[in-house]
Amino acid sequence: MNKEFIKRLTLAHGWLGLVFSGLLFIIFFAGSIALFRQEINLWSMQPHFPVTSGQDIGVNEVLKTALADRDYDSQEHITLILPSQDSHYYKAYIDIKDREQEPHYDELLIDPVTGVIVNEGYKFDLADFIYRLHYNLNIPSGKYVLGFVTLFFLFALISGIFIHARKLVSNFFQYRGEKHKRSQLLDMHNVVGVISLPFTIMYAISGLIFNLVIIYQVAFALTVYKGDGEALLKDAGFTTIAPEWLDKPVNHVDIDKLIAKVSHEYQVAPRMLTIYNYGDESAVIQFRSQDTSEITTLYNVAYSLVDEGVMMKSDNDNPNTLTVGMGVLRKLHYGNYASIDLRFVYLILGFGVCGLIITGNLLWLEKREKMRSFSVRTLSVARYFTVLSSAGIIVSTSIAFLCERLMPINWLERVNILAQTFWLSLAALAIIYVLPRVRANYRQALAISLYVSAVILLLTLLVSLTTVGQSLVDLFIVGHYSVFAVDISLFISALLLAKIGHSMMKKVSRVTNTPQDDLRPAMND
Amino acid sequence: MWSKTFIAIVGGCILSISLMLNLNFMIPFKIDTRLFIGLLFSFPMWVALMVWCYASENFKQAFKRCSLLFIPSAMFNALFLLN
Repeated sequence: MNKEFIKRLTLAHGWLGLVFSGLLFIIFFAGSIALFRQEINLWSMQPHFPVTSGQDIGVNEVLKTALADRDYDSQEHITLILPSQDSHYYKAYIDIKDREQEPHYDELLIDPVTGVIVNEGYKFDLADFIYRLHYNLNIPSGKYVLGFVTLFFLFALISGIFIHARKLVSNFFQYRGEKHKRSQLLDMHNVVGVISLPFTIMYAISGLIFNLVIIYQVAFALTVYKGDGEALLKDAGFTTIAPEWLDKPVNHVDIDKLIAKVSHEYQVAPRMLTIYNYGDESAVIQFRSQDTSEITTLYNVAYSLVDEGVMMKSDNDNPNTLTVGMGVLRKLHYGNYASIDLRFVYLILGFGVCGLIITGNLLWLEKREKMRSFSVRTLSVARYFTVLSSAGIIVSTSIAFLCERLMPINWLERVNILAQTFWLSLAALAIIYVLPRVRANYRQALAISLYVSAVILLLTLLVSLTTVGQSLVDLFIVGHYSVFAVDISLFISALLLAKIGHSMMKKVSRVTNTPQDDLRPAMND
Repeated sequence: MWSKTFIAIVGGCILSISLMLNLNFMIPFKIDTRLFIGLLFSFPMWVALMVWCYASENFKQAFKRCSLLFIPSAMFNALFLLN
């Protein structure tokens, strides 16, 4: 390959990688944790509520409980998520008539055995907060910002293939000894990059489709569909269910019977149902499945709630390629088409990419630190953002876990407090990392931050044991292992962080004791 | 390098849309399949064009490369859309 071509690509790969590395680290770090968001959500919520065992009372009864004494808007829709491994309870979302403030709906957790409403309102946001951090940073238009970051990530992958192409196979197992620090970093960067390539390409393309599809959607709607966006959505298989209100009251229908019929037809029970115009002759019920043993979505069907006639059907017998394809991409992206071990593989690869990002930045820094003419200020800024976007995010996430466990569930603002705690701790770290003493040795700052994260995670475990310890034991006895598993994961993460921090600290003290101090340029700025 | 970023993003985006429109008109599948194929290939196409732009000597060369590809592609777009 042309030398000049590789040189230009290497320059772009290095600079763009450095500029977008911070946001990219957040995407992969938060995304890897968010693979287990159902389990984290259970960890947040379940120990606060009793777990019952026995016969499920069914949707008809649950719906009665949910709507009783509630001024619901029957011309809107009611959504029910049925109990599963992810949640022991029914989740109900009910639109309230003329409610001006947001949310305009009530969110309920209903016990499937006793039919008691165990919780009202949205209180446990940790898992969703981390998930939103992954795809939109919890900021308006963050989705598009991260979309463009993903675009540059795909560029970095493709340019990386070109740069490394000649040695892709021959250097696959190459990992050089400790004496060559730069070679060590380079080998780590290359090996992780090559091994995770199919995974990262899949992630980059699916992430781009999720976040930036609007660009091609608008272009196609304006040109091919002459401005008719509805026609495009129809061809794409997105059907909107909006039955017209007839104002003809009807008796409530046996929904459990309909669920049995759908479950029998598809051999899989629905996961979610939405009822439109409940109580009117125009009422429609929509069922959606979620089967983790298949990579494709099984069905999405809607029936008239009065005569049970089919209003809309999208299943494996009536597929729309785009809908099915998007479903496959979603499952590939979330790794939820097989058992939990697949998500562990995704987790390891995700954290591997976090390592890839940090080693990339360190390589860039090492190279420029040796160039006497290179701007000291640029180096300083690059070091600062590397530490803040990696260690800062790890510490803030650990604090968010601790905060979730510390907050009593009757605090109305606990969702906002969690978000504010995360951002405030990141802001505090941003100030700490700018202090001259910290800036003087960014590797030491990284190592200490990892230690701090480990301590915070251990503290979270301690709080768990003291505040909800008995519930944890009860849950374990009745076979609900998810909460316990998250606690174990936090413990393992604390040990790993402490171990990495310790080994980094050892290297830092070894380097600072050497006369040819590698970090001297850093100390001078 | 930073001037090439502009042409890589804007030029790459416009050109990939144009190429995808042509692909959409040419492939003999049902519309939902064509839309999905377009979606799947559009972003890699955009990134391929970005690589081409960054591999250029300077902004001018990157612009020239994109323009040379865009003109015939846009002509095909016009032809397909008018038909």
